[in-house]
Amino acid sequence: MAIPPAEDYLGGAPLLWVRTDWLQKLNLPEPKTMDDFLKIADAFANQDPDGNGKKDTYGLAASKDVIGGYPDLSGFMNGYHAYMNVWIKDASGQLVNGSIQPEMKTALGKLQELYKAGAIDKEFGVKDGGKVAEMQTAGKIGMNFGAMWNPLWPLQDNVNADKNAEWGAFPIPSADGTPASAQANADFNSFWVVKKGAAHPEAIVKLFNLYNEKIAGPNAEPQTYHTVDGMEVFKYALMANGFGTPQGLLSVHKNVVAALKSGDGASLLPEEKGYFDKIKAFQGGDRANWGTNKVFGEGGSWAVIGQNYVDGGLLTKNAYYGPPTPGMTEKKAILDKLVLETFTKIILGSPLSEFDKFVSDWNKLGGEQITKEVNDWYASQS
Amino acid sequence: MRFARTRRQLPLHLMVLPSAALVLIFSYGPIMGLYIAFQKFSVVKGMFHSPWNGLDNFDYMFSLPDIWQVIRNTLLIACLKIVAGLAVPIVVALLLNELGNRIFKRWIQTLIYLPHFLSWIILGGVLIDVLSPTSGIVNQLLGAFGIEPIFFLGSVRWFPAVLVVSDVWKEFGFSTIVYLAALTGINPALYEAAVIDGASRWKQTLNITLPGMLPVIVLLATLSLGNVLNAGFDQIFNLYSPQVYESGDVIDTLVYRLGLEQAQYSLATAVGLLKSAVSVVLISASYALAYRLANYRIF
Repeated sequence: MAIPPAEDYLGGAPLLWVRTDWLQKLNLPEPKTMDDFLKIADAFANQDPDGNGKKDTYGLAASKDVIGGYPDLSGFMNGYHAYMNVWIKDASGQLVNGSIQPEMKTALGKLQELYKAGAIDKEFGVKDGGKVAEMQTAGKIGMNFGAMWNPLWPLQDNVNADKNAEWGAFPIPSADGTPASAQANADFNSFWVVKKGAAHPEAIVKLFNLYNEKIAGPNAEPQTYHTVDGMEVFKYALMANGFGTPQGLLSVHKNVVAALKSGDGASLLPEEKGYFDKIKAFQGGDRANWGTNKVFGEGGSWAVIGQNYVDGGLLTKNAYYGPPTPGMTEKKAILDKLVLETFTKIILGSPLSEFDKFVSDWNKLGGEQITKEVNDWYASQS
Repeated sequence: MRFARTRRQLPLHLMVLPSAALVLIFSYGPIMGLYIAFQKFSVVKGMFHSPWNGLDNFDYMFSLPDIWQVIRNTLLIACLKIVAGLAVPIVVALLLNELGNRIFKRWIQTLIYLPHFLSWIILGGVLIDVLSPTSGIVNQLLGAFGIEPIFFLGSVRWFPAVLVVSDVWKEFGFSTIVYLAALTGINPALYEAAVIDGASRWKQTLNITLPGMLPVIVLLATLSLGNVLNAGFDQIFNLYSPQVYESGDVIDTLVYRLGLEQAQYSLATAVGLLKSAVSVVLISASYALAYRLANYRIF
């Protein structure tokens, strides 16, 4: 038996980030549906939102990796109920790979249209996230999908550079009447294990409990065990890695917002107090702390995640969370290459019909085998 | 007598010792690990307890769907780089050698040498900007001559050319210095004799300078043949994208995604072993040729 670290599906779930000062300037509504989104993307690209008289802005950020924490086109796909590179349950209760579903074809078709209309950078296919961030910092991009930490990087850099810049966090808009569900993945790549025949296997659990008691429990002593003189001593606990407060950063957000409302940060944990102070500084006019406010403050990342993804149940977790299957070890690199290559080419303008050939290639090159292994694993779980 | 000599040389031997130890530890030591190429290596079981699987790793590599395209890309890019990487520095060294103004010559030498010190991580970012079809300086220059913008890094046709040209640009200054050093070793009396015989500059280059450089050219050519399966991982990894996998994915990048990202260490080792074997064969063959044809010896 192995104990995995605490799951964190929320930290990587895509949100929609929009230059709200551009929305106001062009008199556009907030993106409630995917139609709104497409209109905004087009307007940001063609109606000169930065007012420099040149057509040098883009509606949507994209990189050669297609998905990832920033920029993350999976958010766009989720708007069409398509989920890239995660396993989802189909109507018959079987696990299927999201990348090869018909919804993905629709989403790629829409991305192709955006690309054709000039709303996506013509050169996105060769740029990595860092390169795209340079453009967004320079005020050339009006929207992106990305994880909850995006305000800290790269949006903060744009806010520093442009005193008028303001970004808003939005849940993923939907293309139809069904609300969009954000895809979420957690990599279980480290486990706690105890050697067979160890004299005190229960010690590991005791150590976990001790950690939680000292850091997060009702009688916690964070002054001694969390941060001492600016040194984050909790990181050196024997059994701490991967375990945070039981609710994770969402509870940090809730506590911070409550403290901001009451104006009293005395009862906060040290970590929370740090964010509380920074948000106070932001409210006092310090734009260098804009990012912290946008992550933990009101109307920020965690507010959207909490109200929509958690309370609204709009999270599509990767249904497969076992170790890599034999087929994955052997074939996944090949399939990943096929997926990336095909998706990029379709967005760049290859006929949409190539998607059908891609699906059969994917199955032939090992996808079918992996799907079977994943379903065998799934059957063994219940 | 003999003993006295050994005693005198003892400090020298001691001084060689650390570098010999480094070579043993870092170059010969890892060779032992090569045997995991014939195992189904598992990190948990370790090197000594993983099961043997014969040539399965090699079989698997050659059964990959894209492998022949990848091998073709590797050979094409590597061979072009070898040829261009030999020819350009020789020409530049000859031209620099003809320059009369010493200060100007030094300047040029230093300037072309500089890119050698930049890593591909940095150059990758620079090249993406410089070669951009919308804002890059190269396409703006081409535009001045009425040429339509070319998407160098996004075009399957142009990508290998970009790799070769940028690699030569980065490295030719370094090789040029080696050739220039060889030139200084040529006996000036030969040139004086040639001038008396009425030889022109061109004849002097052809009959004195080039033959004088030949041993170094043969040496560098021989050594570079060992790179025929090395298309340059650092460079390609920082420049390629799914858009140009078709002409830019090479053995090293494939093995990186397959062997390291998916933790198939046996496969990565097998490919590394295969590449080394091919290099040894090619270097030995070219050395034998150089020995026979140019009467050239390294050892």
